[in-house]
Amino acid sequence: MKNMWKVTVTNPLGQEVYDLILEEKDGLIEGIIQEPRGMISLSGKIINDSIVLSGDTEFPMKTSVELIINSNNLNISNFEGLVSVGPYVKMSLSGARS
Amino acid sequence: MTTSAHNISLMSIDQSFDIMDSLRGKVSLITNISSKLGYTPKCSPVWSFARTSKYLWELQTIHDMFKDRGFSVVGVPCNQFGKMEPKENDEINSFIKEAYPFVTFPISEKIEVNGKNEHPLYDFLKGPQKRAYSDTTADGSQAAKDGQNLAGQAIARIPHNYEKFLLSREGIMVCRFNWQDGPLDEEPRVMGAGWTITEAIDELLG
Repeated sequence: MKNMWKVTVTNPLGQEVYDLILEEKDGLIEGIIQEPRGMISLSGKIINDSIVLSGDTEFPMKTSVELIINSNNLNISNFEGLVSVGPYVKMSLSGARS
Repeated sequence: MTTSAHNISLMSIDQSFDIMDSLRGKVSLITNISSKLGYTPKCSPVWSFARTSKYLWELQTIHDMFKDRGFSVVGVPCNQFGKMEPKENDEINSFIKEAYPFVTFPISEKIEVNGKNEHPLYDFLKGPQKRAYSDTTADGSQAAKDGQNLAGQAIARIPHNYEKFLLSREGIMVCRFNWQDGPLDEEPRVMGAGWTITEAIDELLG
């Protein structure tokens, strides 16, 4: 079953809203984060009380992306978390089921 | 004209000390920066922040890598490229501390690096290596209209944020790197006499 949220990423330059779509398969979590300029595939799993997802992108810059969602399951309406881009930036993340 | 960049005054962003004077005896990498790279209404604030963070993080990484051997990066805020640094010194200083807390290399006062108000440091830095290529891409730009870029002439101009100049311990300009030359690149890209930035720094430090 696919789970969809609107996620808002916030940093000192502003905010941006993306679509996050995740599903659980055989204990692993896979999905995408969709933004106006493209899509990033994500994969990961639940680690302790967090869902930890990672992926790579080439555009608009070549880098890795990691999402940490503060929940131990996908059956949630709202969540908070962090998104990291490469080793150089962490931004706050909030999600609301859509 | 002076033979050393260290004789040209460039104050720190908080006006507390002369950065160039403080570099005597050190190898330094001078780069014009913007703390809000690509931050225009059309750009994504997330990716603008990520790009700026990446550039500054890479500069901080080489600053940390070589500082114990007598090296420093210097960031020079400039508002001449897409008007990405419009605020005053105190606001820029506060923003960098808030948004990029990992930055410890010195940041100078905001200056102009091209045009009629070009800071004397950039006149010095550009001197020996004036670019002699047709600058036709600048023809229609606002920068050209503002008199920064004179198309078709052999000119010395800074084309973008993050142009980098490597200075010797004596303040002599040794090597210039285009903005596309990343501080941590493992292969040379555009300029720099075939060196990567880290190779050039290592060579100069001896």
